[in-house]
Amino acid sequence: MITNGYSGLAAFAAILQIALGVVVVWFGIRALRQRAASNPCVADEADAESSYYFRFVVGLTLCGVVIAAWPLFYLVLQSYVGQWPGVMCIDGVVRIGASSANSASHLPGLVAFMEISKPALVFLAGSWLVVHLLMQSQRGGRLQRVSVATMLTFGLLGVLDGAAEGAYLVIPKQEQALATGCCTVDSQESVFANAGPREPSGRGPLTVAFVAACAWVAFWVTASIRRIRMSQAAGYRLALAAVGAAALIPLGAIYLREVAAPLFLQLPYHQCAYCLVGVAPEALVAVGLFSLATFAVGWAVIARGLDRSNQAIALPLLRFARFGFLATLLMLGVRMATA
Amino acid sequence: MRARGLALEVTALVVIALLPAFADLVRGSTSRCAQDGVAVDSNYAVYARYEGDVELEFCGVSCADLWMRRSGKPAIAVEVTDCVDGHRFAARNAHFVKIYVDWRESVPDPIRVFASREEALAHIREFGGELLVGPRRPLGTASDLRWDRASGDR
Repeated sequence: MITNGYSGLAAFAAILQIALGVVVVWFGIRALRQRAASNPCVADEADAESSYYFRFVVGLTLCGVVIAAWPLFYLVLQSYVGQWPGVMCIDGVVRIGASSANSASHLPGLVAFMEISKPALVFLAGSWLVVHLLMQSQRGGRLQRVSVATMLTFGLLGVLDGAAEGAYLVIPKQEQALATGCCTVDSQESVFANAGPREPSGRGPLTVAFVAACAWVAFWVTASIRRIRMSQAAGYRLALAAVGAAALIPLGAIYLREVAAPLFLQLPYHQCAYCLVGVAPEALVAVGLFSLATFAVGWAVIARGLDRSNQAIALPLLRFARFGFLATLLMLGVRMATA
Repeated sequence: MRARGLALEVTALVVIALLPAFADLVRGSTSRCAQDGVAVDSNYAVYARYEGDVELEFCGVSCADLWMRRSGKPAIAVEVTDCVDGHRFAARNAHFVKIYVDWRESVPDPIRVFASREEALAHIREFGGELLVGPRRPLGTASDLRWDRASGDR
């Protein structure tokens, strides 16, 4: 185990995440059992109310922990750079253990799992919060089943992710080594496999596709905002924004590696998004805003899908999404202009 | 109230948009290797010039060699830095020595570059290592190969 400030903090966050996740899952199961029994008596009302607030506080704390754990995970990986000869950035760290036969062979798989589970958890945290706020505003408990299902999924994934993080931190890895440096692997799947002299300014078909997709989503989000503000159904406009946002997730990931990372690193031939953490951390603001804007569209769709009359939740989310996409595009524009 | 919100949003957008320019000012200009992104030490730098007046900088011979093999496009000119006095000269005139001592703490790779063959051999006698010749010689370009064949070095 490599111990430093970041890994200590990450270990604490992982333990907290597992503990809170277990409590959240337990609350979810208890709520399901209560629904199955379906004989609430008046004497239990006070108990139910205190349990409701406790559940909310635990869920909210878990939201905070999973949101903090996402960037912390990359800071931990960045802090491991330099532990092995030939490892220049996180790309080398995530490949440690790939050729190992012992427990370290699980390290690349654990990292791959957490790279998906961490953003998924942030999305689930937001979804749970949206459902919870909707349920509170309705007072009828119509959304209780949805809330319990979201809570159970959130809690379960939280436990799994916390366990994966804990395992990653604990598995011995210092005696492992890369067969070649992280930038000198000969695999065709290497991040540099497609490297070759290209347009250094970042202008190309992938940029056009990315900018067009962002503009598409921002346009339909703005159209949805107008409709919702006038208390009208956003209908197909919000659906088109959601389709665009869903398409932007894979497109954004490819664009980040192929174009945005070389652009922000000012190394037109260096396609490694991980290097942004150490060399150009300002790009992470764009990555964070873009991710949250994409999620916000999804949260707004959930809010409107569950309660068409509710404006208080969907409107700020859509406004934030529009802001996030515009900020990402502006930042890219400035970077391209100054590259 | 709405105008205030809009003003705040526009201000935040401007601040975020200017972040890259501000980060450039704070960071200053550090040359980074086109292959692995590490900071380039001018004592070991390798420069490759491509068509369209594009010059790439590499932290060492290994990175430059790997880049050229991967990119598949021949460089118009390749220049290396003499590890004795730090001057830039054509790679086709260089003598490459692979050292065997632990190099990781101080230099970017195990290949040292010498402008003079005598100095390269003297370095090998003193510290050990081998002269890289024939197919093991790094940074080969089409023009280098012609030069090497003409001189009978390969």
